[in-house]
Amino acid sequence: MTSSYAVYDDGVLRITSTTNPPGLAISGEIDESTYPGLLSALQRSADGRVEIHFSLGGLKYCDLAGLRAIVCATGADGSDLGLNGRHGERRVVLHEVPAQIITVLRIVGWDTTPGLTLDMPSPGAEPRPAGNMHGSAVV
Amino acid sequence: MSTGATTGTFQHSVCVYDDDRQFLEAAVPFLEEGLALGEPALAVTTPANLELMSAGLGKRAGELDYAESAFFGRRPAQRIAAFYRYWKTHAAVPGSAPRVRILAEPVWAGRSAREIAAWTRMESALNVVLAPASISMICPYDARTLGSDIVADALCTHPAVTTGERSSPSGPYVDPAAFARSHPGGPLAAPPADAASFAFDGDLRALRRFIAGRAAEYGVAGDRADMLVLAVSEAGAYLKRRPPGGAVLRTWEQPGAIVCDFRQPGGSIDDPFLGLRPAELEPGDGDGLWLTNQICDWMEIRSGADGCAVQLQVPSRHDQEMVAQPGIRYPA
Repeated sequence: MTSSYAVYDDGVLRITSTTNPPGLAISGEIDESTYPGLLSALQRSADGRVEIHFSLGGLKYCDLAGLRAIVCATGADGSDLGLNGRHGERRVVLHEVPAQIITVLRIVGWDTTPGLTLDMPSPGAEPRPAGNMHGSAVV
Repeated sequence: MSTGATTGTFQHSVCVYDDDRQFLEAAVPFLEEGLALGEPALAVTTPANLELMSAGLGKRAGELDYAESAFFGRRPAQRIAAFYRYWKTHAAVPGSAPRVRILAEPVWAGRSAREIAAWTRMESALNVVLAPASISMICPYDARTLGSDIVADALCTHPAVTTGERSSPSGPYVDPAAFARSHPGGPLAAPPADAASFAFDGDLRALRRFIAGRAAEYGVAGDRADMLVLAVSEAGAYLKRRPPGGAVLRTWEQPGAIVCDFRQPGGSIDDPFLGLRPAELEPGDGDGLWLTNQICDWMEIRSGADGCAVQLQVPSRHDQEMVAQPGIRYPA
């Protein structure tokens, strides 16, 4: 993942724009104090794109509201985020997802959100769809 | 057959049975009718009753989803989430069946008085927190093994009673909010004199640093420590948003558990179902506390003249369940 420039950095949360693939690298801590910065960066990066990649390897803490914002970049909540009316049609790929984030996604059931894909760390394997409980692809 | 007599789309009925025949006379027609209508049907009951039903349903038994009660939501908050998830997965998506049916027999044997009270409150709370869910649910209660007080409470927590294929309103049914007020739970464990203390002034990062340090002190590390930090931070975030804002957090270890006790003098929490409504992509009040409740073994909320309290418990380093079965508490 090629990084280019920081789109947000308050010393607690740092968000860097990435170009290959297009998206964001998010590191640090997400709670209510950094939430506005996250939301702004998500909106700007998602605008007009039908696929976006978020690298979460540097994420040390993420509360439920922050995780919801990341998942909702798919548009699955009915929000537009630059989809121009094509609700739920954006593919969001999460890379380097910390174990706790995966656990929370499964607890809350957002791992099966249409459009969301978890790029699981299995060497040599292709990114796999988050899928649903029957194992079918969700893209 | 209808388990009606409820408002909204959630239908919740109790079936008190004295023998296997009575169990089957209620369970089999309920599930058969659902399967005939194309409704996903789930049976959550004892291994003995699962075997009985499998025989009773004959060829249709293969269409039934099933789980042993002890493993379908270990605690009340997780049980609610499991019911909700079943509905969301099977009926709340375009093109799916309009309703699901669930036969849900709670486990009562071997539970402490505190646990029985919590599961009883859950039965009542289901009527509110699952109100939007199109679920028809019958809860079998085995009068052969249960105390009369548990059976009597079941009639207060279920709006309807099912006998065989007949369903009728439950006369003793109590409005869930009133039931919660009259069953507030016992007093919280008092912090011991040597409990660690942290004055939470709204700085969530400082709160997380404190609890991470305490987790290390108590010998809890890795994912378990991370989940404790998340649970405590979400609880702190909830209290921060409510006047007067700050709180005092005390932590201590008791046999088998780490206890985290928030006290907010002057605070007030009047929602008896706080932390029980499953979180959705649409934000809702108390979502963070719902997550806390999913993570912890216990989350107890009290509110009174002196203020409010949120007390959490997670397994201590001595807990061996997660060692023996990784993923038993959280989805693996």
